[in-house]
Amino acid sequence: MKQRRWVAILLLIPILSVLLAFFVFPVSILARFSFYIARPGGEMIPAWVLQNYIRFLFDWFHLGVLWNTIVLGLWVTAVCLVFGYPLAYSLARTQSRRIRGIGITVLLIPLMTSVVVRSYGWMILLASSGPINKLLLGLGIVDRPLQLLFKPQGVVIALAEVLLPFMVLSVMPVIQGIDPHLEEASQSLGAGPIKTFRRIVLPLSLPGVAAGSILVFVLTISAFATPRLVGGTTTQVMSIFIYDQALSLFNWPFGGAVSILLLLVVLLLTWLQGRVLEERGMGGAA
Amino acid sequence: MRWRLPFTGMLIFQGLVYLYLLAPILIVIPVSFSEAAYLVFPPRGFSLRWYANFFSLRELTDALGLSARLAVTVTVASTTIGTMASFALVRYRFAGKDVLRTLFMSPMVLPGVVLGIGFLIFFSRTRLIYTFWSLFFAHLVVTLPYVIRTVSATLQGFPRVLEEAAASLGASPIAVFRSVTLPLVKPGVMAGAIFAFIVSFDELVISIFLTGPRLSTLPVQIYNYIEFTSDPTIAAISVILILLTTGAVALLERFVGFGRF
Amino acid sequence: MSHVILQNVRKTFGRTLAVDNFNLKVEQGEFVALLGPSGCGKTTTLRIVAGFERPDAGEVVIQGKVATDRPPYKRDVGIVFQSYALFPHMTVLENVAYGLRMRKVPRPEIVERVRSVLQLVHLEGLDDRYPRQLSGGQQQRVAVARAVVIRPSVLLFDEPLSNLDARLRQEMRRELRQLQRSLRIATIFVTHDQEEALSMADRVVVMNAGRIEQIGTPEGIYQTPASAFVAAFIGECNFLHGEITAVEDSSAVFAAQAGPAFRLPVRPDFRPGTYGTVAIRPENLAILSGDESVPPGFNVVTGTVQTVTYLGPVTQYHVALDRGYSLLIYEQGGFARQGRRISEGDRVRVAWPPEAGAFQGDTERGIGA
Repeated sequence: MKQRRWVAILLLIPILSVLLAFFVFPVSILARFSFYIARPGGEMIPAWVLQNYIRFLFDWFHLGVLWNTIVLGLWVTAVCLVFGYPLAYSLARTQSRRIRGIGITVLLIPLMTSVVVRSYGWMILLASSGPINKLLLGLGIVDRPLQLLFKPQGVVIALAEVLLPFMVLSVMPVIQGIDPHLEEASQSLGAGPIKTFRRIVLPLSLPGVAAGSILVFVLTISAFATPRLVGGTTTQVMSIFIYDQALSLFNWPFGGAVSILLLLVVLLLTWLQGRVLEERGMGGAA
Repeated sequence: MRWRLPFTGMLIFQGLVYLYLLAPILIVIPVSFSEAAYLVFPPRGFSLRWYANFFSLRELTDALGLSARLAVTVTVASTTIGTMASFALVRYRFAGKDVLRTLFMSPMVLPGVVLGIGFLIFFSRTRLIYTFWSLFFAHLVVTLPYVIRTVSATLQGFPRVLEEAAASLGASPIAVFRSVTLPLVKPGVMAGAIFAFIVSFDELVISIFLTGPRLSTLPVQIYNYIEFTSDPTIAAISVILILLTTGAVALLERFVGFGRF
Repeated sequence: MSHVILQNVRKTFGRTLAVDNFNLKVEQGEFVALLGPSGCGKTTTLRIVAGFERPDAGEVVIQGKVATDRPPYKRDVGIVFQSYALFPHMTVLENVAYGLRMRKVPRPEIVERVRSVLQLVHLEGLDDRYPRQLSGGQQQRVAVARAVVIRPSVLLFDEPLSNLDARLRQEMRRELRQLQRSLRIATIFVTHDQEEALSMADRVVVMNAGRIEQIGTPEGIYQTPASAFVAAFIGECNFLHGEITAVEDSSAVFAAQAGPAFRLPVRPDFRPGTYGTVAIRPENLAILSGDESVPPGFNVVTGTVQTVTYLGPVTQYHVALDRGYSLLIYEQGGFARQGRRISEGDRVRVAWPPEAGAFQGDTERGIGA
């Protein structure tokens, strides 16, 4: 069955046609447009200039947008790690398949719920008169409501929840792959649970941590809906910037150039993630 | 691993994390039944008016209809094309397979905005802009990686020896495919279809670039609604969407069985 | 005409020669075992007969018709796989009926034949179970039933018993052999377990690195191994290397290098100065203590006992000879040997009849005796 190569080609024709026409081609056109000259008023002149790229990379305001995006990415990744790693560990080590199944289900429901719904939920939760503030006031932890909505802090909280499942699902299989007998051996040799974790489990789980972190970082810098809805106008990240350029200002060449820059960063990081996973002998993204 | 004190601490911590995960989803449920016409917490009264409001607003119901039609057609196309591609990738040997696989999975990796602006520029040069078909092809491209991922995973774990056994018992290749391969691949294909449906139905960013006043999907409409109004109609829609998602995950569980991970 | 013929079959995978120069004829009703270490090509050969691999050279003939180019579903073979390969989405009944369905046998006949075959393998009443609900032994029987119900021209077994525990394996060996005898189907059975091959087969094909080392009855290959490989692979053997120093009318003298000299039965091709290896089975060596007398005509050497291993029916001795070499000796236990105490460090004599030594010259392949 392996010799009939023409069958393989036949099977691949539909997907190749679709992707070439509606993926490779559009992205190429986008790249092409990024070199056009944009005139105020929406006029776009075909050209081969680096004007748009220079405009973005050599301007403090624009670099500030890039900076915001990266800082957001780092914060969200950190929060996801702190909350996600323990969850991943417990799901990986739980003996009961039922509990693991339930855990994964609880992870998947938010994952598959529309991001608008989740962002909307966070808008309610983070409002000054929302449940979180009510709880903090009631417990006496603060005496004035915290400003979380339409502030970067709120975006971090909301986006971290949205992307947490990705972190857990990246780390969990890696921990599952660590032979539990290693931990038992370590304990039999005199290392307590914490030492065993620090010296055995943690180092061996690093590839999963790296892969998960890169994935969450990439998804954060690509995010649009949550920063826009929860962050309001105070948060300027790359995707919102591109959206404004394209749909409000009709400056497709400039928007295109910034998109290509974002794309290159994402591709680089994804390639990195692929390498990290390969080192462990697993291929593929989340 | 039986740790004494940290163990209970861990359990509480995990419980809190799960709560954190489900918080936004849970919060919209009570809000959707609120009587008040603005967002207030805790919600006051009990009313179904926001659900009724949803169904009375033309833009929203039209958008729901479009999203549903779109998701169904995209799912059918995506599942078919993606399954065929998965078979080619897993079952056959040829050069450049890694490159192809990377190409097939890349729409999942690229930022939605990038694809959005790319599709906008691309489709505006054709007659398809702001029609059903531009949305269709855009969604098709984004859902394919999910189908390929699930179907490939199923195929890779497939015991080829079963097909050999069937052949040895006299089944021609077509009979083998029909009676052994297809039934055993079905769960993976179903899972891929469910993913494709959900991804298309929930798709926001790319769709924003490709929709206009006359043609809009539900997520885009919700997004617009949130930006301009603050009544709990969105909460009502959200609850409906959450129910849809939960149903999909339950179906997924039936086909795939999460305990096996 | 033989039921299954393999003629000059050769198969290469990339740069590895998996099977070479393979010639075998299997008669109707005969049980042939393919025996050898992992990687010797036995499974590849089986898959060539089944039709899952196409040989690079040679022919496969089944029931008089050339089958080399025919796909597996057009060959009349029944296969039992090592993993059983039961269809998980079908019941026991549907699994066993599958081959009959493919042959378009009418439904009522299918049900009847399946039921009777299930009785044959002692699995009545399990029609509606799914494979995952059965034990390993039951799954194995279903696999056998499925292969046998179609009444194939040849039955192929690919190490079907290796996943069973020891006791069950013994039972299944007897059952399978009985079943095969009553059905009288030509059978090829692949295994790496020599005990299995010797106990079940009419003939054994010993394979090594893609080639046939020897084909013979179980007794034949045990008593007269054709090569050092066969002698070492089947059972245990003592090997002494040296040269023939003298040739007389009825016997020859063999001197092991830095070891003892002893007598061998003479062969016409013996010459003084011929180098070779003598193989002696451990059960053919007698260990004599203290004052026990040596039977007339036997070779005798002296040595010190290194280890004594009691295995129940048999006791193993390693004896270090005075003049180099260590010999492995099996001694039958039982009533005749009660009261015998030989311990480590004892001085003993080892004796054997000249006929127990099989000589293979360095330049020849066969060991004649």
